Amino acid sequence: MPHTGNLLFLANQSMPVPEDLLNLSLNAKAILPEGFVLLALIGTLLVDLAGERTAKRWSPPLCYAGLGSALLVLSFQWNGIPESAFLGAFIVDNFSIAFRGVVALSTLISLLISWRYADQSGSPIGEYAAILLAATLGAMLLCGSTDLISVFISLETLSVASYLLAGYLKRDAKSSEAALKYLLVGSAAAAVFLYGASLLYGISGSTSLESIGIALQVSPKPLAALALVFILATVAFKIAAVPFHQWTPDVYEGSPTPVVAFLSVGSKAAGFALAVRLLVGCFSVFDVQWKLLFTVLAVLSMTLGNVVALAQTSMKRMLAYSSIGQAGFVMIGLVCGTEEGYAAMILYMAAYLFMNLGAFACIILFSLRTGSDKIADYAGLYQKDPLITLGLSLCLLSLGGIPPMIGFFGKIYLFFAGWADGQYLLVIVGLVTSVVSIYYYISVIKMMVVKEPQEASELVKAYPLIQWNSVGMPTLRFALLTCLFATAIGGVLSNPLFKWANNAVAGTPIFQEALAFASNQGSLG
Amino acid sequence: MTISTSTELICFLILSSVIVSGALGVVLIENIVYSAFLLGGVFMSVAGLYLLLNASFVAAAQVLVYVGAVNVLILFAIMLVNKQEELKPIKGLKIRRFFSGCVCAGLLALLFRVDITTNWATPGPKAIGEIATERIGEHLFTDYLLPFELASVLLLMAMIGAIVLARRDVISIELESKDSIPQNIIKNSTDNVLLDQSSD
Amino acid sequence: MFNSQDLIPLNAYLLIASILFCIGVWGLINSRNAVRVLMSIELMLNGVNINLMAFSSYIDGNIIRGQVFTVFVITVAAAEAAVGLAILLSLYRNRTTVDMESFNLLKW
Repeated sequence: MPHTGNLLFLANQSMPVPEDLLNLSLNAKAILPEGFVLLALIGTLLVDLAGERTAKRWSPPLCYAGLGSALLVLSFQWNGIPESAFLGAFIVDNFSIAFRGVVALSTLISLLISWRYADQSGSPIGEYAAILLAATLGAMLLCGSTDLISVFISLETLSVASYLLAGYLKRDAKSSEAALKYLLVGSAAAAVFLYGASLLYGISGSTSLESIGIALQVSPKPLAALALVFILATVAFKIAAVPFHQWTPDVYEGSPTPVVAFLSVGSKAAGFALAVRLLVGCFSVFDVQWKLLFTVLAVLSMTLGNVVALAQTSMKRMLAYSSIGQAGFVMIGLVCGTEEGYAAMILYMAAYLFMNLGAFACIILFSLRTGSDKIADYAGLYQKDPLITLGLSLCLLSLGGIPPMIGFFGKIYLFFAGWADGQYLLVIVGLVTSVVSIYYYISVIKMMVVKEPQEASELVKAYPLIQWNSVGMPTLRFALLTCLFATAIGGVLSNPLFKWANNAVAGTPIFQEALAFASNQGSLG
Repeated sequence: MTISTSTELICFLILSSVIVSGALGVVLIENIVYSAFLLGGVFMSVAGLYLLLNASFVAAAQVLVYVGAVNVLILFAIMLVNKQEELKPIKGLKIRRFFSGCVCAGLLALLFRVDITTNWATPGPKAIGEIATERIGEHLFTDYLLPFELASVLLLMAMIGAIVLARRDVISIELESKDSIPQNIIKNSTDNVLLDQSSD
Repeated sequence: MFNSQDLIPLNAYLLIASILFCIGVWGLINSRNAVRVLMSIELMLNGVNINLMAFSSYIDGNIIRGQVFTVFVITVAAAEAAVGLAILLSLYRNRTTVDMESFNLLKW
């Protein structure tokens, strides 16, 4: 009986023929970077057993080692032959490597800026690092998953870890409340995703995204549309696109700031990777439909995110709305569906990593010294703390898209790709809302720089002496300076970055298939 | 119609009516403890449906995990956070409930319409029945190895995180208890211990 | 071993699943008690599971990927419930209420 069972098992249509299967190895080296992250996670937990003091001493180097070697291995995998691993559950292509790199780097920088914060808030450090590493593991695996079950499990690893991190300041009612809201909305989104996934499974009888894509070509329209809407809702929730954005401002305001830094970059990058895998890889037959829906989402996100940000008084809340708007910009690249569009999306994500984390590093530094994140409290900061003023100004200008910062080149590339593809509505909305966004970014800078000393806020007047010698401060300064350097110099060095982004598209089979499909349709029409 | 098929039909009808009425009870009954027990009933009936579908392993997992763990956890949570509180009345609650009810009914109609208009690829291959458990094991160690391993990380992390969030801060408790205990007792005991050690 | 395909159509299972899912959605929107919201999410997940199991038995009878999927969903649901209740407990210590309408330190 077991023998026939095996034969039946091998005779399934989506898997290779038996003799191929015997030759297939797991190809486990594909997830070597994740392996290092996992080792760092286990190491952190082990040193945490030895007590809080040992954890404080040894968790940071363990995390740096794990994430650093993960990044190193990723750079070695770059431009390799795209190959599938774990019998079709995972794929290593340049796109997945690029996004896994973005996720790992965002975790690394978030960790660098969080030690001081965790120390001052009195939270246990070992568990914090372990949960953040678990979230990273989930996000990295999500970037390369090509099977519904691995997509679901890695998505949930990321989400559950994010809920825990959001509620990590448990003495703070705001943090717990943010965590509860995030959990309830997130679990509901996961259930909706699962309903869509179950319909996809029903259509195709398979969980591999590739065979689902094939089955969708002949599937009935209403069913596929329903599954598309369900899946799109979850993707939009993850990248915080309007109207699935309601959780974002609350979670950003209530959660610990270093966690917000990770959520705004790492989690969002994973969300975009999920969008690419599911929409470009799987729903390529329905690309007119999903592009239409995505256009609507992008227009709404850019408009609402940037307009509501004008009215905010809390820095974190303002950045939350600004991140909603930024997600809208990135979506332009995805909607284009051209080579330049995909490349611009990847490039902008990498640029967003540095400028956003730089801004968050400044906010954390300010809140560590004054305990406030009100925009009004930044008044007159220029006299007391030039570094924060300079850093925040550079990062915000870059987010607004002012040359010669890296954000400008990213945005220009996105708009150029959109214009070339004929997405005039998106580009015009993007340009107008960029101008709006520059207004509120500049008003923060004006608040810091222009005010006379006597107009400075009470907190700035009572500003403490600048010291860099307490625990976690040197790493915070290092992270801040790195982000600033990348934001300022990245614009000048944008040519290699363009090449890198184009390479990422060229070395990714699903993009190539989508491009070939689009050109076929173009020649037919 | 043989006895076995009619039994199956009757079982299906009973189970599905229990599921639907139980689920309605979960969301509608005021007393949340009753809701939790009804939820357990729904979980058990869903396990029954799995048995009808020849999936004994998943049915057992459903009973063990959902009824044994999740439901008990929910009951514990209800007892831990159980405080008789007067909910402030909200204006337009009835209207809100009615409208959301309409929206959900619309969603149900949509889902069901899509379900019946689709030509599912039935009948598929013959069900394998009892060797399903073996097959699940094969899947977990071949094509679903990656999610299987990742699920272990997920569970570990959920456990650690839940403990960190739910435990009281040990340090603050110790401080509080020291305050509440009369100081001289502690002093005396430590003095005695020190004396003993020095005399040795 | 009897074969269920002959008697009960696939759509009967799908109907039960979608009813369960929609009741869960209604409960999610309208419950004022946070614990009840968690219960509604469990109802939605059970609806999804019935869908998966039905497809697994009717369409994918020999490979049963749906059953494996269901096992994973059950695992994740348990983890999510544990985390949810831990967060709820930690919030309850700060606020001593589980009324969803009173969680308004942060504006929706």
